[in-house]
Amino acid sequence: MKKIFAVVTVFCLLIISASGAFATQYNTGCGLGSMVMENQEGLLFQVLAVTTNGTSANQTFGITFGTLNCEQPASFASLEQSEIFIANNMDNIANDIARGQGEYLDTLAVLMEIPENERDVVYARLQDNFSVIYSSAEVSSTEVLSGIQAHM
Amino acid sequence: MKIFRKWRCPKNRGGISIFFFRFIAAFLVFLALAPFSHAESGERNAVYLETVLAEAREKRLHEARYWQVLVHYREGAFGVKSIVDDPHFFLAEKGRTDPEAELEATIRAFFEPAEDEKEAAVCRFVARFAWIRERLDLDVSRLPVSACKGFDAFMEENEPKSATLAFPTSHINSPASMFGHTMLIIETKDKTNLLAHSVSYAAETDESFGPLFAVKGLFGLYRGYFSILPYYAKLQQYNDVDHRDIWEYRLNLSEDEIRRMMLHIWEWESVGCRYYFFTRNCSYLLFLLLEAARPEVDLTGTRPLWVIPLDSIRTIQEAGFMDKDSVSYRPSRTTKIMHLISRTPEAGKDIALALAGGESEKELESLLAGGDLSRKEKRLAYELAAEYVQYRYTKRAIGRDVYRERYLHVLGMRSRLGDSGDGDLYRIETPVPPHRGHRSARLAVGGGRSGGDPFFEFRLRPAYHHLMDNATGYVDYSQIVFADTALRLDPDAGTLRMEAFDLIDIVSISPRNRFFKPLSWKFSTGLVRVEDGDGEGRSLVYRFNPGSGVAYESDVFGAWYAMLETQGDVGSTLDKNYSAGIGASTGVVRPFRENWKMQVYAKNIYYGLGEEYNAFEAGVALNIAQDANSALALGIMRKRERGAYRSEAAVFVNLFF
Repeated sequence: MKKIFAVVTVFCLLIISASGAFATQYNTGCGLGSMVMENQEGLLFQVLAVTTNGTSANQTFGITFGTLNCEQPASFASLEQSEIFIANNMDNIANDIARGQGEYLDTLAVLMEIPENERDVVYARLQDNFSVIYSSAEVSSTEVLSGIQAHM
Repeated sequence: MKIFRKWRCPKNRGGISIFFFRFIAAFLVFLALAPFSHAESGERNAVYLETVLAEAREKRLHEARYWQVLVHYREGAFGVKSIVDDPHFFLAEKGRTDPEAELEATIRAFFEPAEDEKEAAVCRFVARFAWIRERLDLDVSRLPVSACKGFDAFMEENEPKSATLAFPTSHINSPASMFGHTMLIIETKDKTNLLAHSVSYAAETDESFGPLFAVKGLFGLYRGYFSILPYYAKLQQYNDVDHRDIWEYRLNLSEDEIRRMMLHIWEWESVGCRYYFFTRNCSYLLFLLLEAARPEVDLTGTRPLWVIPLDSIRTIQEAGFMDKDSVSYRPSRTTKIMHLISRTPEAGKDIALALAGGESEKELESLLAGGDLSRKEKRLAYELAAEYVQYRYTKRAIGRDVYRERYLHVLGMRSRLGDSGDGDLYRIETPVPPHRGHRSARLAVGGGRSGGDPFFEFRLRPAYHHLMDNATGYVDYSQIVFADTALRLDPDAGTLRMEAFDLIDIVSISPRNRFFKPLSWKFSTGLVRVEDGDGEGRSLVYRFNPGSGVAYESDVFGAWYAMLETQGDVGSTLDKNYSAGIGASTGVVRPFRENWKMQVYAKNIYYGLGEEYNAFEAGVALNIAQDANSALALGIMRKRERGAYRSEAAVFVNLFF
């Protein structure tokens, strides 16, 4: 009886304090869904981590005009800011285009030098062509950029 | 640390070639002149160096405030010492403790030739160079490297215009972030905020798990580094993935001050400090940058024993770095989802959940047909679904392939409904900003009756927020308490004893709903008093008590929670010196009337290991906030442990400072 109780107590302790495994922070690769992922540590880890405002060692010092989470694709010949911005914000830009508005779209408009008075029209056109621009789940940032340019 | 410095980003390829052309031309000129100029001018420059050094000594430049700020010297108990502990940051051997030697070594270093501009002292210590050059009227044409072109190019390219202090608040249910974080955002000309640069200091940890993790963070066994990333990268991390709201406090730095700050930030590349969670943390290191911008202000000198990000905002504000009404709010994805939920009718939520859950077209069709939603309501439902699919993906509830497919499917549906025409969809009402909440240290003075005897009690808590404290500016239903120490005076016996020491006491009650299913949990450890077996007095034991469970929220009851707990006590008063067991707790926490809060709770632990007994406790607590920094706390409770009953009633005045 006592043994069983000990086992149950220890078992509960383990469930409570360390549920889940830990995993890498970045989901690497280009395209949709390449973003920083949540750490999946157990509670005990999280409690211990209270004391460390930590960061993984892949933080950079320097104004990074490269892609954050993925290797640069070969077609990245010129480091066009808009292309880099798209590559790093594929998901949020998709969201903004589908909604026809948003901060990411506004930023892209600034980078692509779309005059302010034309933006509403451009946004509407992009929205109409969302499924052409984001043509498949494997769409690359280069394809998204040319899709946007084609429908601007 | 992987470092790649690419300060300069030419707008087009022409920019690159011009840059390269200039660089190569300069290099060729340098090669051609080097052999001649060296021997000839070497002696003259040596004489010039001595003149410069003499002038620096005469002006007592090393005593200037700006020099103290740039090298971060502080007067300590053992004399002057720099806060920075990386030898890489100093040019003199004793540079860390000798401002004069460091100044002299810095000036000498400016006269040293360097193979690579980046490695030249003029570039590595570009802020020191700018200042010394001005103060001593240096003839830069006599220096081997006369300017830091990399820095100048960066400034020209980016034209930093303004700076903002960003405060990602605590994670909704993650204690690792419970103190929040602070970083600087440098906005540049003609760019939107997303393209601004974030400057952030954090400990660098390669290991992702280890029992030493906490110890290392507390006692300086990690090194902290500054990193600079586009702000959108930080937003992705904090807003989208960590689900932390971000508060932005616009700083009133002038362009000159921003330039000084940029000069100094440049000097921090690959310079690391020992990272101490409570003292040398993200917020403290930002003080160093702000001092470099505005050296007449002393931020590091006024610091208390610890620096908490939230407190640092107030410190910076009180030092005059912010104008009134300079705060703005960036809701996290979770906040956006909650906002959309509040505006979407039930049928729309069904559709959103079905879409995010990947229901088949058929089921979806029947939902859409039965729902009878307006075009606007459908938009809401699809937008909610899109955000929620992303949420599930970042929580790893679905894999990447599934995510991509569903996300695009939902967005495709949304895009076919046209512009929302509802610009305020994401205009989420701004809550009370965190700096207006209570301060994080708390002194409680009060008294009451325990087991029929009167007592007076003093409690001092260095940090941070109690479940019962007014939650304005903090996360609702959360608690994080560090080192709360209670001393109790028994007026009859004339004794003053430690009543409790809550080393760590964290509670996270996260209500569940149709979209979010978080675990609620608690963790506490410290010294508490338990009844002595003979029913006479009470003795201190060391307690370890984690627990986890679920919580729900309703308008009537507030937050209701139930948790499974384990508890272990160690102390000489116990048979076999320990007891351990399992049990459960439940309660409701209900804020009302704006500044009142009530909690009713009960907890039972059955100790089956070590000394065996059953412990039960129930109570009611009430907190009435007078203003942000004072409150009245009342509580009654009754418990039974080790065969003895005890009732206790107490009243406290809580003062936050």
